Amino acid sequence: MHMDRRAGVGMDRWRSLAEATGKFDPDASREFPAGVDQPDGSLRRRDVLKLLGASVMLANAAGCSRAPRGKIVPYAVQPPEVTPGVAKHYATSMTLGGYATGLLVESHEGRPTKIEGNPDHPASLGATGLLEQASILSLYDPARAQGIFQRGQPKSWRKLVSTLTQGARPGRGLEGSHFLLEPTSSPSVGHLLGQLQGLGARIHYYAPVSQNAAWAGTRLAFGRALDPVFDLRRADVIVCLDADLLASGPFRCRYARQFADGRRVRSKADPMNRLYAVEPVLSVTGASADHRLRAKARDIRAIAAALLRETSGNVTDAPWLSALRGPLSKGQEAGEVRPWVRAVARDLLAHRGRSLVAAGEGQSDVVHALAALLNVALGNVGETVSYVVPAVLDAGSSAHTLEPLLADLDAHRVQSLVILGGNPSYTAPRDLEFSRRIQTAKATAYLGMYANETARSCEWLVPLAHYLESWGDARALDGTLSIVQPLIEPLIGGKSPTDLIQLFVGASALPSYDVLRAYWKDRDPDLDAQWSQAVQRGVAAATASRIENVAVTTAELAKRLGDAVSSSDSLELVVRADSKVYDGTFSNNAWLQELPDAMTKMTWGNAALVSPTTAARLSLTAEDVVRLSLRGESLLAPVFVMPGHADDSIALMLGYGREGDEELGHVGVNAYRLRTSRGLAFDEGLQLEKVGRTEPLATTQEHWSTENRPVALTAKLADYEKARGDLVSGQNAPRQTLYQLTPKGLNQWAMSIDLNVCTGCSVCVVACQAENNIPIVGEEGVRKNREMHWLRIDRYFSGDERDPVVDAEPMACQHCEKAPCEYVCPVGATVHSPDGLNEMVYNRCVGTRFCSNNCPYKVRRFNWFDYNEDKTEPQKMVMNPDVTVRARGVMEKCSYCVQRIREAEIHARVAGGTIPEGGVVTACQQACPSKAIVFGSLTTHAAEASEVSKLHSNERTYNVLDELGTAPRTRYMIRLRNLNPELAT
Amino acid sequence: MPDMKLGVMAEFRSAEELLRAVARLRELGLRKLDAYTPYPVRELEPLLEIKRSFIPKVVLAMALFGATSAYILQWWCAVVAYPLNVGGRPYHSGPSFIPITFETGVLFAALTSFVLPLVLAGLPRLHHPVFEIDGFESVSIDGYWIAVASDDPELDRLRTEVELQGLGARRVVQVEGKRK
Amino acid sequence: MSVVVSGDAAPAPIDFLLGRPSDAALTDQLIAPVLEPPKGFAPLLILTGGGTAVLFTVIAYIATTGIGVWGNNIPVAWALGIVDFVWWIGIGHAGTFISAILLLVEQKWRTSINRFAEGMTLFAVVQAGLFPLLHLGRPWFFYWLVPYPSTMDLWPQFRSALPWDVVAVSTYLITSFLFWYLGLVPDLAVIRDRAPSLLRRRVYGVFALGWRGSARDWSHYRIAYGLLAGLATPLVISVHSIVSMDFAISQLPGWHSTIFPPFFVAGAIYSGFAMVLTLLIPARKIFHLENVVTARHFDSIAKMLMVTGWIVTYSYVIEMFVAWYSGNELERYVQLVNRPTGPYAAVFWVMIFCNCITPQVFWWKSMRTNTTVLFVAAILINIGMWTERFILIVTSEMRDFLTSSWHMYKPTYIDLTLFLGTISFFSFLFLLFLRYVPFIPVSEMKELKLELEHHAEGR
Repeated sequence: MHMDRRAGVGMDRWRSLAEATGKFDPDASREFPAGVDQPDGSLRRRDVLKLLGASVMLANAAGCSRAPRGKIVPYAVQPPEVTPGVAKHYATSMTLGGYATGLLVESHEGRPTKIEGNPDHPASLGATGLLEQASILSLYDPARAQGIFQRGQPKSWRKLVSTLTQGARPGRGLEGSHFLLEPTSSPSVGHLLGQLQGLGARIHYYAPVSQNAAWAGTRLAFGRALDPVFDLRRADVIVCLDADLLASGPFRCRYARQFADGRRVRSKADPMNRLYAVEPVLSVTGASADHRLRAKARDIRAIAAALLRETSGNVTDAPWLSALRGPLSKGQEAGEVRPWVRAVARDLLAHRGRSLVAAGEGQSDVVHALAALLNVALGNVGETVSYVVPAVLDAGSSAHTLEPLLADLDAHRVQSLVILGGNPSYTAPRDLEFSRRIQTAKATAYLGMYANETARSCEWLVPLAHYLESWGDARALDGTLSIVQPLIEPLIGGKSPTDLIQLFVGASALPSYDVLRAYWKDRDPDLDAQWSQAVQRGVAAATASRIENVAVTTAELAKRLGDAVSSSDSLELVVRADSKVYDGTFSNNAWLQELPDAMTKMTWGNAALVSPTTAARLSLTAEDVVRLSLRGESLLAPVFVMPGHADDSIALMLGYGREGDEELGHVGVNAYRLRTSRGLAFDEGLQLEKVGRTEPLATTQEHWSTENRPVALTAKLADYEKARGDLVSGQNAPRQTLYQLTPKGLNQWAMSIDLNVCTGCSVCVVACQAENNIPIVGEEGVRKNREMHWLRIDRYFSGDERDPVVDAEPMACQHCEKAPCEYVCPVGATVHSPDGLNEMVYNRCVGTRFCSNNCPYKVRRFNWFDYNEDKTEPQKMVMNPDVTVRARGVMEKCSYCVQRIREAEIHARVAGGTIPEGGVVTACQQACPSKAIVFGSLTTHAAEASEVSKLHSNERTYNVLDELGTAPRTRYMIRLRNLNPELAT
Repeated sequence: MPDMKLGVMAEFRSAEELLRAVARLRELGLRKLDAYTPYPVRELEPLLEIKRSFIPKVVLAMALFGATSAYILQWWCAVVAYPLNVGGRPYHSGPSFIPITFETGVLFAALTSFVLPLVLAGLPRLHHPVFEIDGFESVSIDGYWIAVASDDPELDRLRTEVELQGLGARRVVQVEGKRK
Repeated sequence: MSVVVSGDAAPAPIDFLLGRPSDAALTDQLIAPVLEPPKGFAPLLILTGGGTAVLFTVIAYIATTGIGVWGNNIPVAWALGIVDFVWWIGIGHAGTFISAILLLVEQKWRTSINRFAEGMTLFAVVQAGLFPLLHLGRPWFFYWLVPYPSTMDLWPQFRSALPWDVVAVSTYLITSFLFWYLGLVPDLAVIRDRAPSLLRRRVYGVFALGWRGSARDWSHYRIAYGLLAGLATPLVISVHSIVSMDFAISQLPGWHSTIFPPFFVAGAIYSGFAMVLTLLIPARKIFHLENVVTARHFDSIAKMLMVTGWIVTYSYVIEMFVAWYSGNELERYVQLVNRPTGPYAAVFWVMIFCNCITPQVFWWKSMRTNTTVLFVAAILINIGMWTERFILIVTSEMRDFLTSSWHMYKPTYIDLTLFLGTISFFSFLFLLFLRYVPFIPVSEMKELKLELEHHAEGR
């Protein structure tokens, strides 16, 4: 239940850090050059970080049974730029599938503690995704590989260098050397790879979740691999063909924001976009859709084709259409979806140039091509959709598949195989038997964060540096370049791909920073000139890719459309990257493991998702264990009956059932075992049988319906426009009360949550956890309903269980003015502050839990055990020093990030002014991609009323459980559903 | 007069005999009398001129004192010492202070009504001259004892002894006046 | 209440004490258990003592590990700990009720069983007292609920019902003890004067405080004892009313109810009398007290059970009616849906059977005096009252306002061990009480005897 069950790792870890800072890596000092973080370009930061690294080590020396070896520098002399207690933020960026998301990282005395989005970065716009938020925890993961190992034996870097390079000595050419990377967009790495290829080495890329289908799709449609970049702000009608635009993909944060901007209805005059989603597995996007159509993954192609047919009919005849008329005319979509398709098509046609169609990673190239053609046909290209050359290197080429590498392996043409990141032994399609076939390579080395499945099938394991530990560069989906800046020296001597590649290039091994700097010097003098600025902002100005003009080519597509789609009635298996552990990369991240999935609310594992109808047909109930068999492989998995799931389609999330050192990742079942190269995203012919036992699942919400209680309110846009005054009457009127005492402080803090733009993606939950040192209770704890999240996302289904309306509602302490929790506390441990906060005084709490009983929102959390007692040293480093770590036996709950409020107050006092609008941003608010959360003071010091006070008096605003008279300070805005009259029932 | 000087004592077999004896001795003009019984014999009280106990008045006073101080304490804590905004409730939340006020009143009263009777009986006092009397241990079983103070002006030890014998005393004891 | 009780004072009180023993004989019979205990006593002591040892081991475990070892969760933050607390404190009420209220309304039949009941009260309240303490997240700070000048200048928050609880329960414990001990003093003197061995005389002599039984002492004593009875009476009512406010002052559907105080008091006396029977019937057998604890006693207790049983039943009905009549969806759900048909429906129906159906057998006099029937009924009612508290507390919490936080509650073995532990601790203390203290008031019985003789002589 705790994050580290392994003893004794601490010792080695800190020894290697000593080596890293001391004798082992003489270049350490040069990794942190002048003025990367400040215009005046002094040498300070480098010294600081050096000291910091050391201080970290010192701090932890205490925790070791043996004093660290090597030279250490005590944190005795305070570096001028560091004020203890005052956090600094540094820009960097994290890549996923090769695409970068810009971040700002908060650092306390050299300890990165919190990840925020970089407002200047196109992929972030100031927000973060789940994985970025939680990635900070992986940095301090005690399960990380503890050094360099050859077949499990600790070895030195020199030994590694000599062994690896003897086969291919500089100058002698690198025939037979193969390099397998995750898709990357790093220009500098690309440059090095180019040099490798020049020497005869071969480069391969593999990631279980990739844009391959999208690239192939644009190749079908336009003759070359391109990345579509959407502009949702300008789209009135959005159609997602199994595309989870709002919660996955390189631009998820940007799209979520743009989508929200399109429906931030503040008055009846404001416009609102309309979202259609077709998907097998209920996704965040599907839940936010105004109209959602359930369909097996297989059938979506037919629906896409039908959409094109229905729209193209009315489009002024483009030449390319005639070529497709034939195949399109024989519609393969099921009869019952036709009305839906027609309605959507009409809606699209009504919004030519102001609509967009997106296809998902899980769909075939044909669907992507159809989506592209739909956008062309509707005249959206150049309006809401633009195409750019993929930022990822060699996009769309055969280098992005494993087959060539495996062929060479079988032919014994591979001298050495160097795997840089990823975890192919675990993630490669089962039928490729990756682990077995790489054994024919003479030497195999793996650069990875953990001693995982791949490490076990390779000879060498080299610890991979976390992105916060090493220099690099990366591009966003639209090509914008950002610099990956480290905030801390490698804790356990981790190496970056650059470090390893250089060994083969033959140049004297330079620190990754020098390599990076040198590369950009010759590549782009302008960037070099404004280097420090680029590093500081985290984005290189004006580096976005040129927008490509596209010309439709249909020959291939027509052929592909012709061949009939298999129409077996067998069960379908759908595999997806998990919303939390992704493809398994984050398996050992306790924050993500314990985070309830946005839709299933499941934690600590995965399950076979089944629709209620299918469950009834196969007489399955939740938690039944079933044997899933597909193409000769079978797997035992518990069942989870999921409303809104497509019938006859079984979904399994990837990334669970790990077998490596990542102990937390061992939960759940390994969906890769059923994933073959024939069906990377979905496959037909799944066999399912009950084995007659059950397995308890750890879900945080057991009841789906609101029982018609006034909790998560929704209204039809039409009704809203008709309505007079407030949607919920009487809630803004002053009410009679015996409890006259009201807070009188200068600021009166309050929050507004707009359910119309909240997608329920749950980033805020992780952000809150990171900011407020919220502990993990583990699988058993969640089963007992003891999860500690201060902020949770309630997910309610209404209507038909098979096809429900999904409402997500963030629920945290409402900071009631007449708080029921307060008057029942016998010791005054929870009281009201003058600025309207419902304060929780941990030191005073004796733990009667009366407050929780009397809290109608049940947002209070209790420390049933000492959840922090066996945190190891590195795990403690992630703690936010501004927030108390709670003791056993005390209550805790959302504090409106009081530490941030007080900090702002102090700054205001020092500056002799008042806190400006937006002067306090809560962690949840800051992370929220769709900006659904607005926080501020009801009282205003400026001319015009504060944002939050305006929203509180908005006609859509209401209180949850208003009739209790708790007068909550957190108020919600009713969700609107922009229904298509044709489909409205 | 819990510690009167014992003069003559006599033990009877029943409450009735005892009562008769007390009445008789009073006819003889003896006034400084006392009786010891295994359980309260109410009829004795008028004969021995025992006034109704004043304990209830004291208890009432203590009860009121306890209650008042409890209420004042609560008021002081909530309004004066450390006023806090608790769920918007007024600082002086009178009704919520009642239960403790009442209970404390009862507590004080109870303590008083426990302590007083013992103190008035001169207890705890493990040794007392009366225990010196042979056979006095029957007082808690089935002995009904009468005692005449040695300093009663009307006391004629011999005559009294004879009288008591006549009244059917199980035993009569002459207590030496000088002792105690 | 008094009306009800004095109703059965009508029949000749002569049968509260059978036979005409002499003072000495009666005394010897009543103190016999103290002077020479019956056989089979030691094994019982060892058994219950063992259970007590287990109890304190579990307590140590809970205190060192955290109350996470219980099944409690959010929303069910209070569970068995509080169920047991209310159950024990309820049982603690019959003692004072019998010895105080029945004394005031001059129910002669109380005499022979009142100390017995008081002992039960005392030890039940001791058990009850354990739970609120253990139930804290940080038990070592329990004293923060008591007003004392602390360095942080902080005081308890008296708007909460929990400080009320602290004062009420401790007042009740103290007062019950004083009442019990004051009544005991003359009887301790009896043993002091009657015990064969010098040691015993000395020991009991010390506890008797040197009681002499002079007429003047008796006159104060009588009044003071009466006063304590008078004080204990409102105490019985107030204490359980306050306990009920732990729930009533909250706004949780199923707790938020004005009927609670009277409902709880009735329930308390109900369970208390049931427990008196559970203990008295075997004790009467073991110590051959058929002549002092007679059919008339059982008859009266059975009638009390019926009365209180009906009050409890009435409360159930009213609770449900008001829930329906209020039109409040949440109240309706808890009272009319979740309790009778929810996951804990079985427990609910056990409660209805034990508390509402069982006492109806007492419409027949033969049943009221049949000790076997009485004993079985008493056990059933004890169970019923425990389930009542369970239903009251758990079913209200597990499904409250926001359906998203609805969650099932399952007790753990620790929860159950703790409960069974308190039962053996209770029995242990009670056995010691039976062994070392005259549990039938000797002097009062003799006084009663005198009155009965007068009664017989028609005076």
